[in-house]
Amino acid sequence: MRLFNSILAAVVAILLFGGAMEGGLRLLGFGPPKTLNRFDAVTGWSKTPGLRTHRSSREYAVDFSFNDAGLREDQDVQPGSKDPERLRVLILGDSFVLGYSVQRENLFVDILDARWGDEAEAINVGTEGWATDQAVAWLESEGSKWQPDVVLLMPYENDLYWNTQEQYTRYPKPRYSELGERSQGELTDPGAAPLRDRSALARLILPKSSSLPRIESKGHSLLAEHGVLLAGGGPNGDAIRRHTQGCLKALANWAAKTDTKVLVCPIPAHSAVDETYAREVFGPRVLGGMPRDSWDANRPVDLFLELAAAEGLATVDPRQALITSLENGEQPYFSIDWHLNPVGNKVLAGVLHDELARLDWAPEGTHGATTLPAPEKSPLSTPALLYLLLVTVLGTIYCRLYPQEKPLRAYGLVGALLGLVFGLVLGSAALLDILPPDLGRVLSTVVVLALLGFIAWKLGDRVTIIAGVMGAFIRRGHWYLMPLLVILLTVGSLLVVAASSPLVAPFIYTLF
Amino acid sequence: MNVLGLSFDYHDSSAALIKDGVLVAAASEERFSRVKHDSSLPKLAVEFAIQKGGITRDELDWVVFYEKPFVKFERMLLTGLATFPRSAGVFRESMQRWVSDKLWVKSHMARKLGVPKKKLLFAEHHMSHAAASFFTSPFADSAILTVDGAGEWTTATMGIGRGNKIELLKEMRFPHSLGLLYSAFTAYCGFEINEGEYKLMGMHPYGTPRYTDKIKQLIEVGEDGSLWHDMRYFSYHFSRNDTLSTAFEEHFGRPRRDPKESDKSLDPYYCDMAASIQAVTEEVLLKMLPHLHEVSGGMKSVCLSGGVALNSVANYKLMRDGPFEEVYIHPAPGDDGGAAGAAYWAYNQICDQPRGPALDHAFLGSEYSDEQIEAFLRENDIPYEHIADDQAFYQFVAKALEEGQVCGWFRGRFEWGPRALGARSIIADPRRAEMKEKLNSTIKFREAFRPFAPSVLEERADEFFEIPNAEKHFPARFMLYVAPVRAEKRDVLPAITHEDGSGRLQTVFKDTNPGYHQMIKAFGDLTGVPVVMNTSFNLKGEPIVESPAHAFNTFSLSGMDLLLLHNFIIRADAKKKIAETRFHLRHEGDSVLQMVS
Repeated sequence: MRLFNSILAAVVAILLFGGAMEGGLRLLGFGPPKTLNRFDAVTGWSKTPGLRTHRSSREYAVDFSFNDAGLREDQDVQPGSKDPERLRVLILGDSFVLGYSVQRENLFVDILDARWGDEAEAINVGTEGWATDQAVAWLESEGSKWQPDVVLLMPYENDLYWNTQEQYTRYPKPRYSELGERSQGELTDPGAAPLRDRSALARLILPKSSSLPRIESKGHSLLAEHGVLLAGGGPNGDAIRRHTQGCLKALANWAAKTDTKVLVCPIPAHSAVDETYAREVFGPRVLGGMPRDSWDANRPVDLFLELAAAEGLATVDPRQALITSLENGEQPYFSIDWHLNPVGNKVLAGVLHDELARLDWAPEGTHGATTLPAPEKSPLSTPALLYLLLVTVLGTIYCRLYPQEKPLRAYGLVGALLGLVFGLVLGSAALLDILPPDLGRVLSTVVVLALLGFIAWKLGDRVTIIAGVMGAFIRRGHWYLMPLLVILLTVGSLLVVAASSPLVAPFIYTLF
Repeated sequence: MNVLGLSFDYHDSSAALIKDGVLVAAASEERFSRVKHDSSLPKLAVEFAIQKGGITRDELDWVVFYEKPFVKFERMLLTGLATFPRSAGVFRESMQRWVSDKLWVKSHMARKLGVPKKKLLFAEHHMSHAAASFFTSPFADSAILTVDGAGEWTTATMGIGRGNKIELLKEMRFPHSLGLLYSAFTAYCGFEINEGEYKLMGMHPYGTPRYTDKIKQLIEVGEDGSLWHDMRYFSYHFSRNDTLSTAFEEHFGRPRRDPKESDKSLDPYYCDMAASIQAVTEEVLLKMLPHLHEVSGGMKSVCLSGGVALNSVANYKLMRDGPFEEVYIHPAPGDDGGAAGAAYWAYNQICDQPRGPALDHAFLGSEYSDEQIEAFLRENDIPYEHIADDQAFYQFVAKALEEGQVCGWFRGRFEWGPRALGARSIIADPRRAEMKEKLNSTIKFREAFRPFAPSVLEERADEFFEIPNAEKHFPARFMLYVAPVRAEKRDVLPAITHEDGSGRLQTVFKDTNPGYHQMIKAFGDLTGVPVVMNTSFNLKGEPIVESPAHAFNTFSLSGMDLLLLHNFIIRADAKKKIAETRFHLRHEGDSVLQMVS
C-alpha cells in the first residue's frame, strides 16, 4: 500500500508540475488554439452551438458567441424564423465570413445586416477552415430549412487545394466530383484531438503528429494550398479545377432546385491587393523566397470567377475596391494575420451591398451606416474595476489580519502596492503593443524567463530543499497532500525571494 | 572528529560541540543573546563552542540538527487537514512560519554558519533526546525513555542503548502526549505553557490530588503507560491560543484560571489540580518504566530524557519506586539538550565512533579569567575587594552567608541546562526561614510559593536528604531529583524545605566543582550544615547571567548583598546601572502554536 501511495504521489506531483507548466505556457501565449468547432457528419466540422469564447492576439481581441443553431448570430436567428416580408441572405465561407479576427460590429456580414435594416437580413454561415465543398454540402443539407432568397458564397484561395482533398489533416471532409456529386456520404468522427493539439506542454515536447502538406517547386518548399498561385495552378492544377468546378456545379444545381439567387464573391488574399506586401512579406516569408514572377496572387480569384461564371453563377470581384482603399492610405488587412481588418470588412460590405443592389437582389440600404456602433462599455475599464475590487477585498483582509493597523493606512498600503503592480503590468502591455509583434513576443518571453531565472537564482540551494520535501512526501505516500504542498512551496519560494530582494518584494507580497 | 549539534526554531536554541567523543562545549543561545528562551539560530552559541573547542568552522566534520523538519512539516499539514476548518487560523499562521522560515533550515544553517551542505545531518527529535541521555551516561547498556510534548510526530519513545548504538523500540505519537497533557493543565492553572510547567510542579505540594479520577476521564492509560487523549477536551491540535477546549472546563466545573491571578496567590482548587496532574504524570511514568524494563530484557539502568524529565518530583519517584536500579538524566533533558544529543547520535550511531566519557558535570559554558573580571571592574569603575587566597575567600563567603547575606556567586564555566549548579548561582543560608521570602520578593521578584533548592556536599547528602549512596545518583548532580529532606533536618533547613518536606537537591562533588564544594564545606565547618541555598543567577524572566557584566547588572537590579566574581567581592553600595547589559526582562511563554510546531 505504501508503494502504491508513493507511486500515486509521484504521479500527482508530475501532473501538478505539468499543470503548472501548462498554465505558464498558456499565460505566455503558447497555448493551443481554442477550437470553435465540433464534428459534423456532413461537412466534417461545424461551429459548436451555444459556445462562448474569446480569442486574442497582438492584433485583435474577439468574442465569439454562437446561438443554438450554431451560427455567430443572435439567438432569434433560427431556420424557422424567416419573416416573409424580409429578404434573407445566407453568407457562406470560411473564417473571413465567420469574422475570425473582428468583432461582430466590424464584420461585413453584420455591417450589411445593419445597413439593410428591416428590409433584409444577412445571416452568417461562415465556419473556420471550411473549403468551398463544405459550404456547398451545408447548403445542400441545411440550406432549404433557412429559405434564403440569396446565397452569397465567399471562397478564399486555400479552398482550391482543399476542394481536392477528402481529409483536412486528421479531419474527414466532403469532396465534389467534376459532375457536382458529393463523393462521400456520412463522415466518420475522428474522435478527440490528439494531446498535442490540446496541450501547450505537449506542443512543446511532442513532435508534430501531422502538418499541412507541402510541395516542391523550382527548389522551393511551399504549402500545397499555395500551389494555386503558381502557373497552371501548380502540380494539382487539374484536380483543383475539376473539384472546384464540381462544387460550383452542385451549388448551381441547388440554387436552381430551390429557386435561390447565388452570388460568388472570392475574397482576395492580402498579397493580391497589396503588391508591397506580396513582394516584401508574403514572397520571402511564406513562399520561401520564390521569385516574384513565378507566382501570382490573383490566380485564385480569377479561377473562382471563371469557374463560377462557367456554371452561370453571378460573381463580383472586390479586389479593386480593396486596392482603392489601400491607395487612399487605408490598410484593409492586418499586418500579421491574413484576414481583413475592420477597414477591409467595411470595404467588402460596400462592394457586396452595391452589387446586390445593382442586381436588384437586395434593397438599397436606407440606414446608410457602414459600421455598427460598438457595444456600450462601462465608464471604468476592466483593469480599473479589477483594481478597485482587489483593493477592497485585499484591504479588508489586511485590516482584519492586522487590526492594529489604521484602516486608512491599510487600504492605502494595499492600494499603493497594487497600483505599482498594475502600473507595471499595464505599462508593459502598452509597451508590447507599441513594439513589433514578433519582438514583443520575444521580449515578453525573455522577461518571463529572466524572472524565473531570477527566482531560481535567489532560491539558490533551496531548490534542493524543495526537491527534498517533495521527495520525502512522495516516499511517504502523501499523494493527497501534493497539491497543497506545491502551493505552499510556491508561496514559500516567493516569500524567500521577496525577503532577499527589496526590489521585487512589493510585487510578491501583493500576491498574498 | 568534531561534531557540532544544534537545536533551534522551537525554544531554547543551543549548540554543543563534541570533539573526539568528548562534549567540550554546550550552551544555550539565550545566555549570549539575553533573549529568554531564544529560538533563533544559535550563532553566538556556535561561535562560543567553536572557539572553546579550539577549532575553526572548516574543521567541523558534521553539523547536526536535532530534528527532521520535513517530518514535522508533514505533521503540521496532516493535523491541519484533519481538523479543518477549526484549524484554519492556526494552519495559516503555522504555514506562514514554515514556508517563510522553518522549512529552509538546511539552507539557513549552511549560509549563516558557513558550513557546506554536505556536512549537514538531521537526527530525529526523540533520537536526539535518547542520544543525549544514553551516550553521556555511565552505562554501557541501558534502557531509554524519552517523553516530551511533541517532536516530529513522536511524543514518547522506549528504546535500548548498547555500546555506541541506540534502538528505539516503541513510540507514542501526536496528539497523544504526556508533555502536552501537563502543558494543558499548566494553562488551566493560569501559567504560561513552555514556561510555567515548573511553577505548576512547585505548586503541587500545596494541594491534594483529589482530581486524579476526573483527569483520567480525559485520557486512557494503557498498561504500558501509553496514552490516548479524548481530543474533545483539548484544542492544541487546532487552536492558536488554547490548549484545552470548553469541554475541558465544563468537565472540571471551573474555568481556567486568569493568568493575571496565577502569580499572586495560591488558590486551593488549582493547587489541588496541580497535585492531581502531578500524581497522574507520575502514575503514567511508573507504568511506562515496568514495561520498558520488561521489553529491555530486565536491564538494570534507565536513561530518561525529554522535557518531562525536568519533572524532578517524578524523577525521584521513578528512581525510588521504579524497577531500574540506576537512573541517568542528562543535565539538559529538554530541547536544548537535543543539540548535544544530535551531535552524539552522529558521532556514535552514524560514524560508529567509540563512546566518550560519561558526563559527570554540567560546566560546559563560557568562563572568564581573573584578568578579564578585574578589567571589567576597573573599566566600569566598580569598587571591589580581592582575596587572593582561596581558603580565606571561602571562609569569607561562609561567614557572609552565616550572617544572612545573599550572594551572587559567579565562578568558572556556566552550566549546561536550565539549572544553576554553582557556577552562576545566587546563594544564601538555608537555615534562615526568612531567606525564602527575601529571595522571592527582593531578589528574584517571583511568586511567594516558589521553592528554593539546596546544594549539599555529596559526601554528606544522605545526612540531610533521603538519598542513600548519593554519589551514584547522577540526576542529583544536575538538580533533577526532589528528595525528601530527612524529617529531623527539616527544621534545620527551613528555607529549602518545601511544603511537603522535600527539597530539589544538588549534590556537589569535590572533583567537578571544587570551588563551590569548598565554599559549602567552609559554611558547613562554620555552621555544622554543609548545605547552601541555591537559585539561578537571574531575575524573573531573565536568562541566567553569562558574563561579569550580566552578573553585575542583575546584582544591581536586585536586593543581593554581595557579588562574588571569582575571588573578587563587590558590595551592595557599589551597585549602579551599566549600559551594555540589556536583556528582555519578561518571557511571555509560548503560544499554543509555538508549542506544537
